[in-house]
Amino acid sequence: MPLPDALTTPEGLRERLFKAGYIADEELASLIWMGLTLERPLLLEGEAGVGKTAIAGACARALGRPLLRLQCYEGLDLSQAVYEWNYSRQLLEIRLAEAGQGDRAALRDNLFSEAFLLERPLLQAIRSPEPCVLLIDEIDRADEAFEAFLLEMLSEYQVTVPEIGTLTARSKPLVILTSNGTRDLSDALRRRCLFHYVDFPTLARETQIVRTLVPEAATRLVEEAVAFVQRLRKEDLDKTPGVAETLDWVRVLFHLGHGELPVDHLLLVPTLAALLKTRNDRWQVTPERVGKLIDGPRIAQDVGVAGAMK
Amino acid sequence: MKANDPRAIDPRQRLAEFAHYLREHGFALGYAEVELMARAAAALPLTQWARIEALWRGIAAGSHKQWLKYPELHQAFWFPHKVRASTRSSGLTRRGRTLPELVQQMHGEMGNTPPGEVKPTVDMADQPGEGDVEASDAPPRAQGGASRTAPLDQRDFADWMPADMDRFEPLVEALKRRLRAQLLRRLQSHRDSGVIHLRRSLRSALATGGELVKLHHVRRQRRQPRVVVLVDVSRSMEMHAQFYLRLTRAFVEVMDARAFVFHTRLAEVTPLMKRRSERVQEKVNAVTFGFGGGTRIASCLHEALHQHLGRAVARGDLFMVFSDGFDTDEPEALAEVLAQVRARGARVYWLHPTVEVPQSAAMALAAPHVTRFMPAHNLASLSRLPELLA
Repeated sequence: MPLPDALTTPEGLRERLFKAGYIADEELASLIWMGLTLERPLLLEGEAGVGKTAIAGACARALGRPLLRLQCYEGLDLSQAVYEWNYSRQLLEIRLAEAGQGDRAALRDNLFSEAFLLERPLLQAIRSPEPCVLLIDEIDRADEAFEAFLLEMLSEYQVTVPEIGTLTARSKPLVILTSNGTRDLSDALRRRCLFHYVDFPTLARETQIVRTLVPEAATRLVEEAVAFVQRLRKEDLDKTPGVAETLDWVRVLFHLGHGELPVDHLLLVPTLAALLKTRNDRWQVTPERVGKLIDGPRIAQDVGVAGAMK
Repeated sequence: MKANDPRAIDPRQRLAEFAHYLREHGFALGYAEVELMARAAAALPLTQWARIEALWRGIAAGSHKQWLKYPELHQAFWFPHKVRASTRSSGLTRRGRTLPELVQQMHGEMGNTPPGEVKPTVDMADQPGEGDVEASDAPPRAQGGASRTAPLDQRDFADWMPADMDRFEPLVEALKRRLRAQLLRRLQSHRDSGVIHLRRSLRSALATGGELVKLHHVRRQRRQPRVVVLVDVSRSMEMHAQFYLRLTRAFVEVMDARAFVFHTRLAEVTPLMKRRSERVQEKVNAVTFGFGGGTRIASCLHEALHQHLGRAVARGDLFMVFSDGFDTDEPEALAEVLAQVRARGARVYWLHPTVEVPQSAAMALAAPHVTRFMPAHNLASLSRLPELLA
C-alpha cells in the first residue's frame, strides 16, 4: 500500500507526529517510518511512564488510522486476543434447527463459519478493510505461549482458525508492541521486530513536552519543575518518575497557583506525592534533600542550559 | 589503487561482514535481518543517508544492552579512522568502503532512486558531524586494541575490573535453569492442560443452557524457590567482599533474591542491588560503615532469619552464605541457627573464598548443617555453581 506523500521521508512523519501531539526524537521517527515502509512490527521497551503507549496513539492520529489495543496480562488467552466462537448464537441456531425452523444441512456447513466468529483485537486488525495501528501493550506480562502465537501473526500477518482455515490479512496494520522489561522476551520475537529503547527525555525535550501538554502553566514553572524532576531521576529511587508523573506534578503546582517553584521547600513536600510512588522513596527524599536538589547549583542554571540548546 | 576501488566489492558482502562483526559482539542477526538492513538502506532517500545508523540500530538491537552498544560498533566498523584508542573493537583490518559509498551503490543496484537524484559523495560528506569520506589512498588502519581472550577465568576476584561484572549473570542463570519449580497444593486455572475443574465448568455452562461447551482446567500451582543471599563484609573478607557483592547483584537480578550484608550487625541491601548504578558500592559501603571490625555470623544469621525473613524461608528455598567462616560468636551458636534454617526445609549453601572449606571452630560444628560448601574465588570456580544442586 503506497504511503501518502508526507510520509515518504522520516522527517515528514516526524512533523505529522508533532501535529498529533507527540514530540518524537529523530531516531524514533526514523524507526516508525521504517516500520511503515518495510511493514515490520516495532518493539518499544523502556521504563514505565516514558510514553511508550502514547507513541501508538500518536501514530494512529498522525496516520489517520483507527487504533486497536490489546492489553496483555498473565493468563491472556487466544479467546480474548484473537477470536472466539459465539457459542450462544450457535446453540440458538441449533435449537432453531431442532424445532424445524431451519435447514439442517445448511446448518452443518454454516455452524463454523465467519458469521459465528467473534473477532478480538488481533483478528480485527488484520481483517479490517483499511490499515490500522495495533497496539499490543505490555507484552512481557503475557506468557510464552501467547508470545509464540504472536510470531505467526507478526511474520505472516495471518491467523489460523482450525475450523475455517487460514485467514490472511486484508490490510497490514502497523504493529507496536511495548514492554517494561520485567521478563525477557524470546529471541525469535525480538528478531522479528524493530527495537527501540524509549529513554527518559532530555531536559529540553521534556520541557517542550510539558509545555505542549500543559499550556496553561507558566513557562518559568514548567522549566524549573522539569529541571527538578531531571535531577530527581539521578537519585537512586525505587521508582524513577516518568514523563506522566512530571505532567501530573506540574498540573498540581499549577492548580495550587504557583508561577514558579516555591522558595519554601516545605510547601513542595506534600505535592511530591505526584512524583514519588513508594514508601521508601518518600522516606528517602526528605525536605532537606528537596532543598539540596533545588539549591544545588541553582536550578535556573539548568534551565538556562536547556534554553541555549533549543 | 585498484584494490581499494569501491566498485570492486559487492555491497552485500560488506554488509555481511558487518553482520558478522555484530554477531561476534553477541547480536542475534539472521539472514532476514541482513536483508532487511539492505532494504532499509535502499528505501531511505539518499539525502538522508545519515539516518541509516538509527534504522540499522532498530533492526540489529534486540535488547537494551545491545541498544546501548550498537552506536559504538557502528562507528568502529564504518568509520574506523574516527575511533581513537578503543580497546573493544578488534578484528577486521581490511579497508572496506565507507558507509555513504555503500548506501549509494545499494541504491544504484536496487534501482529505487531515479538517476537524477544521485548526489556525488563529496556532497554527502557535508552532513554535519559524521560521515566524511575517507580518502581512498589513506593507509589501511587496524581497529586497534588487544585480543579479548585475556585469561579472566583464572584471575582471582580481588583484581577484577568492574567492567567484567556482566559475566556473573550467565553463571547465575545457569544455576537458575537447574532449579526445579515446586508444586504446591493450591490449584491454578490453566488454559488447556491439567484436570478438569468440574464445578467451574458447570457454572460457566449456565450461559450456554447447560451444555458443557467450554471446559475449565486447573493444575497445581508452581513456585520458584526463593533465594536469600548473605554476604560477609567483615575485615577478613575485605579483599573479596566487593566481588561477592557483584555476585549478589547477579542473584538479585536473575533470581530475584533477597540480599543482606553483615559484619557485627546486619543490613538488608536488596533495594540497592536492584538498580544498575555505579554508586552501588558506595551505597553499600555507607550502609556498612560504622560496623565493628569483627564478625558475628551466628547472631547476624539469627537476626536475618527471625526478624527480616519471617516465614519467607520454607521448604526448598535457598539460603546462601558468602563468608570465610571466621566467627566471634560462641562456636555452637552458628550450628544452632543453621539447624533452624534446615528445620524449615531450606537448603544451606556456603560459598567461601578459600580453596579449602573453612576450618574455624564454629564451622567445624556447623558443617553438618550445611547442604554444600563451594569454593568461589574466581570465575572458573563460579562456573561450577549449578553443581550446588546436584
